[in-house]
Amino acid sequence: MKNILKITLISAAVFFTLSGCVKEDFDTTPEYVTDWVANTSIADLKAKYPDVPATIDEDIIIKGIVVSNDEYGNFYKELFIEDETGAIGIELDDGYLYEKYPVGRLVYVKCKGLSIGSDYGVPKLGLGLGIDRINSALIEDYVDISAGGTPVEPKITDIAELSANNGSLDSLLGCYIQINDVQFTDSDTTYAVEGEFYSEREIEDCSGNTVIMSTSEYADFRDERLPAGKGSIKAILSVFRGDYQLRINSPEDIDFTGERCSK
Amino acid sequence: MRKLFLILSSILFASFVLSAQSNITGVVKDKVSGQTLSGAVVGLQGTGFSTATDENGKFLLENVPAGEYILTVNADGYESVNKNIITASENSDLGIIFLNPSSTDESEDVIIELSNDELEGGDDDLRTNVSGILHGSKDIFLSTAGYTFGPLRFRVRGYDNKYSDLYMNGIQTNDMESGRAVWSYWGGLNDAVRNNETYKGITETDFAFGGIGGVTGIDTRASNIRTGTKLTYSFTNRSYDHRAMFIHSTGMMKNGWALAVSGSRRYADEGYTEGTFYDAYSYFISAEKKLNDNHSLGLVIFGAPSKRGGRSATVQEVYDLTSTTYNPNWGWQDGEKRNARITDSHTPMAIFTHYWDIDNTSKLKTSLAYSTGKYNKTSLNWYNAADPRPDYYRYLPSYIEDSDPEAAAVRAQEFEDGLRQIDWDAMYQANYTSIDTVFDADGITGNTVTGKRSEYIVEDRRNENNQLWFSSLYNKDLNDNIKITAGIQYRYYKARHYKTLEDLLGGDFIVDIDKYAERDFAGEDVADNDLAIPNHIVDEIGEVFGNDYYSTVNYAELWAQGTYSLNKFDFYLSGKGSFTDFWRTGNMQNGKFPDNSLGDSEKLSFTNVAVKLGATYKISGMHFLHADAAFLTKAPDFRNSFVSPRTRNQVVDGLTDETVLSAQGGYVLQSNKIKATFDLFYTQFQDQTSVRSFYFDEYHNFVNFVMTGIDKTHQGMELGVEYTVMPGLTVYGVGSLGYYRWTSRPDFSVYVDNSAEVTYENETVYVDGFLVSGTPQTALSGGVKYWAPKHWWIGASVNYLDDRYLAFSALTRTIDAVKYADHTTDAFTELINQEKLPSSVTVDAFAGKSFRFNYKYFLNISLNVTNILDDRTIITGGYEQARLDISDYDKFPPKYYYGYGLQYYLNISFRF
Repeated sequence: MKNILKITLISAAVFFTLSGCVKEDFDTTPEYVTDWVANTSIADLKAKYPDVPATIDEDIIIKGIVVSNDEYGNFYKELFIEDETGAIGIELDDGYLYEKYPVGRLVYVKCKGLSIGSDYGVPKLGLGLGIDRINSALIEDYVDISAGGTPVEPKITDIAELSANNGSLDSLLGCYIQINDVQFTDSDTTYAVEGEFYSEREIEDCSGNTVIMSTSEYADFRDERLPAGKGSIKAILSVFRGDYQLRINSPEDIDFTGERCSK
Repeated sequence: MRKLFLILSSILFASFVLSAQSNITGVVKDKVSGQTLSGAVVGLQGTGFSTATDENGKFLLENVPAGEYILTVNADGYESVNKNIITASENSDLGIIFLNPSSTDESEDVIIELSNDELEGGDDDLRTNVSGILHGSKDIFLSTAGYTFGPLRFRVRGYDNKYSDLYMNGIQTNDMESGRAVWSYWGGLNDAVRNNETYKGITETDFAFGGIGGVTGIDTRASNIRTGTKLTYSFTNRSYDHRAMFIHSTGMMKNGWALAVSGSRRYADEGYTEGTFYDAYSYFISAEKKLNDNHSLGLVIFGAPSKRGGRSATVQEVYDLTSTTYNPNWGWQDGEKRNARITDSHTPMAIFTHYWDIDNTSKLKTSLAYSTGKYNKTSLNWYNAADPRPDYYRYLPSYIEDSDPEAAAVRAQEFEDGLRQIDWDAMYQANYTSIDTVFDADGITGNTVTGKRSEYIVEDRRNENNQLWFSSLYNKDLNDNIKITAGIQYRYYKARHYKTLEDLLGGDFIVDIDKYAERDFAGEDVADNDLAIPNHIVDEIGEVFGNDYYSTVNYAELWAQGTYSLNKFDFYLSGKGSFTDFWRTGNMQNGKFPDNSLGDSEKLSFTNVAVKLGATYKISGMHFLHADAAFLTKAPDFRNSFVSPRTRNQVVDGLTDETVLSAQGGYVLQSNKIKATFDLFYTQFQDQTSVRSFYFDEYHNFVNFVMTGIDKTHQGMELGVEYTVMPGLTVYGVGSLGYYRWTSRPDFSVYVDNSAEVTYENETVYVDGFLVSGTPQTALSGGVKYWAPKHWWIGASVNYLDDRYLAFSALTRTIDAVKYADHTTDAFTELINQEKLPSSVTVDAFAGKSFRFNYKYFLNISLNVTNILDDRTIITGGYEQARLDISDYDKFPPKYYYGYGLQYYLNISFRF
């Protein structure tokens, strides 16, 4: 019997040596990394085509981080990406962009064949000189994603500069910005009302500088009441006919919990 | 393994150099009747000494060297007896050895016979998860694993059963397209196939080269079938309710003939799973003519026609609302449960064998066999219509919960009330009102057909095959130490795979065009499945449509084996060379693949080799150590070689031989009180190819998932111990601890049946380290058995199974499929990790009594109850859906199979 025990023990030892570390360490599927190589910054792209609309005929690839979010309906079939030099919008014919291109995702755009234009002043990419939306079946020919994106920190911006409306912030159009110590001039209303394509709500600081927040009637939060306090707001910087505007992704971008300006 | 020792040591005698020798004599008698027993085999364990008792029950073992031995006495129908004996120089007479009529023998009838349905599990991938009926094995581990773990989908060593070879009368019956061992060919013929030997792992046998998983040899030679008549009736609640069997065997008669006939019927209106019926017969006849002392001829013809309603896996949400016996495959029609997935199979086989005892030391067995079979399976098909399956994801409460909670509640109630099944009436109604006009019908310009174009039909997916075998097996004892065995085998297989119209469900016709191609590729003829008949109007039951092709496989092998026995060591070395070639022949020119669908494909040829070797060290007559190793290359199976055999001749890219390297070592103890086996095994599979093909909702078509470069490692240990506490009372424990895993990142491509576009190509599947699914990797069982002298018996066991893993979707583990997913979330981690299924504990028990009248009539009654605790929550398997929604991982949750709850098996047999 001793022998048997010995044999069994030795065998068991051999087995466990063979098995090594029997740890259930699952393989993980790596994140997708594009083989596209960005060769131009967003600012350089804009600089190359000062006269818009224009069709891009060079092998230009830009990259940027997604800053807009269409999940709550305030953005629709448009995507804003931002790099260190600026931002640009892309017209995409897909209603659920946040699923593939959530905020913070690193996106590459092959610009050749697309056109660059101005949407009431906002720089955008699209198909043809009309800057049309890129058909959903073609999106992946022009837009790719890659691992490694992190959400952009909003650029702190002075409301006085926005209020001046003198074009000094045009390089930030489409960027994610933040302004502090502001409030709704009239907070006794909702974000937007049905029937108005965009509802404009004035934001002010205690010194009387103002800027407009523009919200779509299709935003999910349209009927929510505006917050009454004062604080910071994060938004995509937009422009409409020469006037800067703010477009929020969702009401979470607004933190108006402080005391309003004393008047 | 015991057989191995017997064979290897059968010429051990010569190796003994001891001078003291003696003769051992004795008489063997039936303990109950007192009658002498002729033909009982008496031998000394671990030696070559073996003889049979004469007509007076007497035996004589001559010239036995002095020493300590275990004498074993075996007789058909009796419990075997082991006796310690010590021989000296003088002769010893052991006197009378009484044998107890065996109740184990009769209780074997109750050993769970896995029905086709259980073997197949309703899903092709799970079709052959179990090792069949293993009661032929003398190995404690194997016999217990076979009937205790088998129904719970345990696979010995985690191997696919295509690595185990299955033989009947010298011909190998593994399926020629999948390589798998198919037991259903002789379903219900338990008594006719009871002469069988099963060996696990790497072994040598005297009838086959064998696979790395093991080998089973069934012998249906008429003279070897137990003489007498036996009638059996069984009542159970498994996939069938009733089973009746009979067998009559004459034994070898004075006129040189032996004849055995058998037949059975298995039946259930509705089996354990809802909506599954079972309707099976079987027949068997075996005749043998002894020409003279050297030559005998044998012919066996058998078949097991069966029809049965299928079961499909479904999602947990549905099981939660209904029960774990829910089956989405059926619905009410005219007050009866109609199953949409009916399998109709029958493979009659005839084997003609020439037995030639050339001389005392050599024999030759030559077989010629033919089979012609069918394996048909019906299925719903639909065109421009809503998915008729009741568990389709859009019909589930969870899918409509957000948009319409009230409707979701109603839907949930319907499931609970048993109302969510296939709605046959609705399909008829849809077909009645589906008036359509087809222009240029059947390719005839101006031929316009108007009528009810069925939106829903039942189609029959057919496989009809013919097969021919020739095999020859030669055994020769060269001298007292060396035995050689050699065999040749040739197999020819040709199968036609096609679809026929089974039921138009109230409509007038369908058009044989591919809806996917029609939708996505507007163009002349592109959608036609058969360019020979564009716009083919299919309106007759049985009419061929959709796809039609032949698979042809040729296989030839030559193998040889030598065993060499010494006093303390036995060795063997076996080698096999084989040649396989196969091709596809398309009978339809598919509109999508006009240049690649009709006629012969490229002929794929493979030459393979296999080598096995092993040694046994005989520590003593009771203790044995053995080590074995095998290396082999294996041709890919037909089934895994074409990307979409239904539609085209395209061969899988990078198709290559699979390589298998396997080693095992073990210890065997055979003593009076304890029988034990302990084995360690380690096996590497390399370059496996897998083509999985199924209906894929997202593409509304059959989709083929092709993986190449699959490597796996299976390692583990097995233990089986049986301890005789006192005569009749034994306790036993068996266990298998395995670690079976994927060890590579395979290449992956996806082909849609009717699309030339490759959806995914040469993607890497990130599954290195994933665990092999389809079997528990941990299986333990302990039990106690008592056989009373008064011919009754009782026993119980507790079984624990763990480390089962869900079959994973390869697609989900590719970079592209989850490209847009957020990899940082817990939900994502859960998505790409493999799901471990819960462990299970079951309790089984059995009891029985054998009555004997006039010493020649035997009545046996036994009852076997498995899963006494009626645990209905045991998930025995399942798979992840390939469809994936990146924005909602829960939309396409895994589908599971649940095991049966309490099952009983009452068996009554009468033998005379």
